[in-house]
Amino acid sequence: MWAVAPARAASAERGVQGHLAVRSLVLTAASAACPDCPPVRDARALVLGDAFWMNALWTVLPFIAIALVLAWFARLISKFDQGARRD
Amino acid sequence: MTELVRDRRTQRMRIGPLVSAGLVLGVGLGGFFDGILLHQILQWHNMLSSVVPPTNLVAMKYNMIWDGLFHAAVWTACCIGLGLLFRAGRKPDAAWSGRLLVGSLLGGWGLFNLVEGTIDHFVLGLHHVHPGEGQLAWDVGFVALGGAGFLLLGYAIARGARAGRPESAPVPAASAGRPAFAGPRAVTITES
Repeated sequence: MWAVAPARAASAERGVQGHLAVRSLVLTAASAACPDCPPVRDARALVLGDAFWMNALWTVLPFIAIALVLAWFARLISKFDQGARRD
Repeated sequence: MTELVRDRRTQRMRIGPLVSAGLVLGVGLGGFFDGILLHQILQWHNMLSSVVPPTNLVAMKYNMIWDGLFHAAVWTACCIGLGLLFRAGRKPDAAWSGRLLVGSLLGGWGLFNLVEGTIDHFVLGLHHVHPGEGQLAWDVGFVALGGAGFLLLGYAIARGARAGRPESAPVPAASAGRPAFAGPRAVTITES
């Protein structure tokens, strides 16, 4: 009996925790889906703040580097194609 | 009717159009794979998760906006890649090979991982693959295996491709005795 009681208590606690987790997930999803709620407005204000252009530059920088590498490689391939045609 | 003389020296097809298309598409698809798996499904990191850690709802939304901008750039790469692929399909002198395309796609994916991984994870520190314990190992593994590894694998696959153009290509290569294009401006190919 004593061995069963703690198992039941642990199981009940897990059930409560699971219920709480589901409720918080539903709440988070509901607030995430709200287009004009305070968290959205706060996030937008944060994005469009002082660091916007710097962050935009950092985000775009890898793509600029990739584009430069691809342009260089395209020239290399073009020379290869021309060379192969002359053979 | 116009006569077009085919020069035997131009038999070999150009690999440039298909490889370029594959590389750009590979960059785009690789970016989407990163964004969908690591940012959204596993939620290991976001675009700026080391700058503004997503520990509350506002910070999560902040990172989601920047992830969206990242996906917009990656989507643009996919569109450009599709356009290049279509162009390659319409060129009768461009190679059309599945192996060459797959190798190029992998190469583009590897290029994305290598460049983005180096700049964002090491140089700028905007985010890390799997922050926390073992962070450096994850970052190094991502660049080494996902970046350089994919590049080498793509090269190995593409290298074994034949730079020809099969009959099943969207626009078949011109061949002697047959009209190369249907329609009022049809041309006949004669051998020299």
